[in-house]
Amino acid sequence: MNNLFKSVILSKRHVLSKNTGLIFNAVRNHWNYEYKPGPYPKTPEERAAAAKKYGMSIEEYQPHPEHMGYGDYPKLPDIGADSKDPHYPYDQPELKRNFNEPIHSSAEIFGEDRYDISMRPRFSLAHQWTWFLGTLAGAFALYIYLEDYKIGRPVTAKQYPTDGPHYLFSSK
Amino acid sequence: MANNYGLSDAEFNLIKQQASRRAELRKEFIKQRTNPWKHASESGYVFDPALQKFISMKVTQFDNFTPNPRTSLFGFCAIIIPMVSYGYLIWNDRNKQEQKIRSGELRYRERKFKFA
Repeated sequence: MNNLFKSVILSKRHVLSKNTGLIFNAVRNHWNYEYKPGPYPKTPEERAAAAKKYGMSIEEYQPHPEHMGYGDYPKLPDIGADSKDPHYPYDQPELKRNFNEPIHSSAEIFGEDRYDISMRPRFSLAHQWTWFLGTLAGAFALYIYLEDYKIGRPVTAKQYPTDGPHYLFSSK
Repeated sequence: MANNYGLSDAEFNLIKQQASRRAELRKEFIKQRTNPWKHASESGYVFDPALQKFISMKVTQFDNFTPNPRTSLFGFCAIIIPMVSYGYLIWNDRNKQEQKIRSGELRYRERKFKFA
C-alpha cells in the first residue's frame, strides 16, 4: 500500500539534529474494508474478479454456499497441516504455508496441535464407538443380570444375650 | 492422459499452474524477506495480503449475516431453547419448594443447603 502519511516524532535530545529519520507510521495503512470479502459472486464476471482477487484460477475458485454468510471468500479443500509435505521448504514452516497462499476459512482449528480433518483413522469412528459402548453395555448388562444371584458369607446375625429368640443347633 | 501420473489433463494443468504460481510467490517473498532496508518501510516485516484477507474476513463476518433457515435454527436451538427451558425448569422447582415451605411440609431443619 502507499505510505502517504508519515509523521516524524522528534525526541527532545535530537531537537537540533537535521537527520532525524522516520521512526514509525502514525497512521495505519491497511484497513479492513480493503481486505474484507465482498458479497457473494453471482455472475461469471464477478466470479472471475473474485478468483483474481484471491490469487486463484477460475477452475479452482469456489465460494462457500451463499447461506453460510462468507461472501466471496473461497472454499478451499479440507487439508490439515498434518497432511502436508514435511520436507518442502515452506515460507512459514510452523503453519506449513507459503507467502500469500489463501488461508482456509476454518484454519484456526486445523493447526498441527488441533483437529486434523484429512486424517484417515486406522479404525473408523463407527468401529471405535461400537466397541466402546459395547464394552460398557456388556459390563452393565452382566451387572444387572447377576443382581439376583448375589452371595455373601453364609452366617446368621450375631446373637447377643438380650431379649429375642435364641437359636440352638440342637432340635430341642 | 498425456502424463505418466494417472491424472486427467485438466488436473495436470492445474497442478502445473499452481506450481508456477507458488514459485512466483516464493520468489517475491524471498526478495522482500532478504531486503536489507526492509525496516525503513512497512514496519519491518513482510506484509502478507492473504493473511490480512483471512483476518478481515473473520472480523467482518457479521456484515454478510442474513437471517435464513440455517441461522434461525442455530439461534433457536443454541439461544432460545436453552434459556427458556432452563428458566422454566428452575422456576418450577423453586416454586414447588416455596409452596412446600409456606404450607409447612418442608421443615426448616430439613431444608436444602442447611450446612451452607
